[in-house]
Amino acid sequence: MSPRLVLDTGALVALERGDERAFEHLVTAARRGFLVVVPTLVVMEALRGARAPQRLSQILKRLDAELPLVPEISHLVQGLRMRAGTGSDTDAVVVLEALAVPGSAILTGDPADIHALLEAAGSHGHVPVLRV
Amino acid sequence: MAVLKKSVAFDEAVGREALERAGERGFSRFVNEAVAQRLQAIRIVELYEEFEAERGPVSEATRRAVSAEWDAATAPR
Repeated sequence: MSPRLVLDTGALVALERGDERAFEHLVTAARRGFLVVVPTLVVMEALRGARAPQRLSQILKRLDAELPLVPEISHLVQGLRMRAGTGSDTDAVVVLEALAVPGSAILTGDPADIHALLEAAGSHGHVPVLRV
Repeated sequence: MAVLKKSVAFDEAVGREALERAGERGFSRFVNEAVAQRLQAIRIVELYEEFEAERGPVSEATRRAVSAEWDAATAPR
């Protein structure tokens, strides 16, 4: 299975707002053989905060990258968040989806919470965290 | 999920290695994932080109910075 680039809500919102760093990260991931994925919780959160939901929906349709929430992930969220003492359910799902496939990376607008969750998962330094 | 069945010819070495790695039962899934990823990469490049056509080219500074960040993030540890 190819390594993933998991987008968090900040990364998705940056794409919706036409942030050039976000687009550069996206195309770099594709060129380097990463499969871009977006957990469903991230999609929900980004659509809730989107200035241009239609634009966001168009981007999501083109990516065709949505990952449904599965029990193997959802049942681990609460424990990870409690160990980290920070981060949202969505952040925890992003981290767990990255850990599910070796070699994966995360593109985020909020590296601090992602790093804290990775540390709580015992994987700090093993998953590249890129900032939009 | 609906499926489309096609007969596909591989270069022998490619086909053999794919079969060895995926096994007979996992072969279709293995090939499907590879094609899906390739298609996504094509769509992302198209999206990027449309973004540049709308907003102008991504600056050289951003290209260099992001490339360096990926190099650093994915370097063997």
